Order: sequence, then structure tokens, then C-alpha cells
Amino acid sequence: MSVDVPALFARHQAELFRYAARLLGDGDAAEDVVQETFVRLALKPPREETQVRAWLFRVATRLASDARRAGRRHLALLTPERAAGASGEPAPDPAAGAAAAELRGRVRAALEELSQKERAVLLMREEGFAHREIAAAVGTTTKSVGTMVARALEKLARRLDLDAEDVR
Amino acid sequence: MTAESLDALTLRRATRLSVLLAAADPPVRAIAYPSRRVARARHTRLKRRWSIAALLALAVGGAAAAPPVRAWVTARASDVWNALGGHRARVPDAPRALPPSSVSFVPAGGAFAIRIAAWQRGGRVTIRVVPGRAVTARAEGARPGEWVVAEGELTLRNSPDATGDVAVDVPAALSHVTLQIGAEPAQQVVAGLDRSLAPAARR
Repeated sequence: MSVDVPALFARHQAELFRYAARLLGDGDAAEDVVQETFVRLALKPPREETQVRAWLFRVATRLASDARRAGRRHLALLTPERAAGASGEPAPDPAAGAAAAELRGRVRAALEELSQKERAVLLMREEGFAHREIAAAVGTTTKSVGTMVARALEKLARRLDLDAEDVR
Repeated sequence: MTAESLDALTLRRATRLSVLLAAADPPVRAIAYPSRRVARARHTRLKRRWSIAALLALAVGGAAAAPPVRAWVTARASDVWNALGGHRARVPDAPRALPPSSVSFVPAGGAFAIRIAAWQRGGRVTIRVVPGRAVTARAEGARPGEWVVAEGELTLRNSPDATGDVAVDVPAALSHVTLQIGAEPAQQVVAGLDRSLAPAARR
């Protein structure tokens, strides 16, 4: 199949960046994952054009997993300054920036408690994928995706007060 | 808890999580389409395919040829095999043409050393572990110095008067990366390493 890679990049890069940034907690690493995903699309696109979106997320999930493994290998000396700014640039308003950073940190810490697979399952569901597509991306059965989503949400519910009457 | 109430609970939690994730997302970025990386990857793949085709043609031709011709064919097949990376003592790919203060190449082997010849008057060195296979290095400022690529190492021949920052992206595929500045002992590189190049700021 011949694909118009720049057009697909324009259409999907924002949602792919959002997914990768949530998965990795690092905007720079997410940007690299997005670019590498599209390099691979240009080299070996999927057979069916209708499957491109799921294919992109599947490849991004694997690349993000590789990036996390590499990062963990060298995590011991990660500088606090760098870690604090890892999720994105600060907001212009200091108070709003502090609140956003606090929320980002809380969400990030909660997501870090999930396994890589649980995180990918939950975040792909968030992007609107069917259980069948999620299962193909993370290498599990369609049946177990629902269980993994419920289990992941159970863990996050405690950390993020998802069962409280008013969140935030 | 019934299956129905469990579904409702999951849905409620997922909805609330959506709100939190959206609020915690990093700002949207204008990511550039990686046209150079795509072109380079396509070129490499094409070259590899042609080389494999040539190797097969030589193998078939060599099997049917007389001894002197067979020896010539074997030598050419060996060249192609080495070009494909089949030889053990691989040398790094030729550095890609970039602005003088930048260099990008695919390193051979799993260990890699980054050397910065001299401490500078100012500036920082930042090393990131990134997906892909290429090492990309960039030196900024008025006198950025010169990058020298050798097998398993990259050296910046910089000036002690320089004040510009240095950034090096190393691929996650490498097993071991070290950084050495001036005469200090080499240290293990970590994800997101960010340190001063000025001796006054040394620990």
C-alpha cells in the first residue's frame, strides 16, 4: 500500500504525541517516539489503510516501551532539575503553572504505579481504540483488556480519588 | 458487586481520569515532519536491498563459473557482504552532512564514548537517550569547535574560550555510553544528563 506519510503525520501527530507523552511522562522522548513512528510508517506501511491509526499507536507503544527501558537503565543519576521539567514547559502564570505542575506530578506518579502494559491499555482506551486493537498493540487477548482496564482504574482510583464526589 | 455496577464504576472512573489526564497534558507541540530521517532510512533500505540482490546474483554466477572467475566472484561477494555489515570489524557509517557544528551518524557496536576535549568558559552539555539508531551531536555558540567521529567514540575538539551549549542524542540501542570532559575520568551517561561545561561549576 502506498501512503501519503506527510498527510498522515499532519492528521495523527498531535494525538500520537499526547499518547506518547502520557505513556512516557517526557515531552522530548514523546516527540522522538512520534518522529520514529512515522519513519517506520514511510518504510513499511500497514497493508490496509483503515488500519493506519491503530498501526501507528501499536508502533509508538513499542518504541515508548524501548525508550522507557533505556531510560530506566540510566535512571540512577537522573538530575532532579531535569526530572521536574520532564513533562512539558511551565505555564506563563506562576500560580496556574504551580497548580498545573502539581496536578501533572500527581497524575504522573499515579500512572507510574501501573505496569507498562496497564498504562498502554488504559491510555489507548482513552484514545478511543476498541479492545481488539488494544490487545493487538500490547500483545494480549481481547478478553483480558477489559480486566486490565478495570484493574488499572482500581489502582488509579486510590491515588487520584477517582471515586470521590468531586475530583480536583 | 454485580457486573452491571462494576461496568458503571469503571465508566465513572474512566470519565474522571479523562478529565485529569487532559488537565495534566503537556502543551501541544509543533513537531516537525522528519523528512530527512525518512529520506535517509529509505536510502539505507534501498541500498541494502540492492546489495542483497547483488550478493545473490554473485552467488549464483559464482557457482557456475570456472575457477579463476569463481575467485573473482568470491572476492566481489566478500566486498558486498562487508558492505552489508557482515564483517565483524564494522566501521561507523560516514557522518551525515550537517552544519559544521553538528554531526549525525549510526555508531557500530554497543559501547560508545563521548569526549569533550576542554572545559569551557561557559555552557552546558546535555545528553539524551532517544529511540532510533543514530547519534546526533550539536555544539552551539560562536566557536563551537569540531566534531571528530571514530569507531565507538565521538570527540568535540572545542576551545576553552567557548561558551556555547553542547547537546548529544544517543540511541537507546547502545548498551553503554560514557562522557569525559577535559582530563576528568569518564563517567557513565544517564538519561537526560545535563551538566555544566565550565570548570568553575564543577562539583
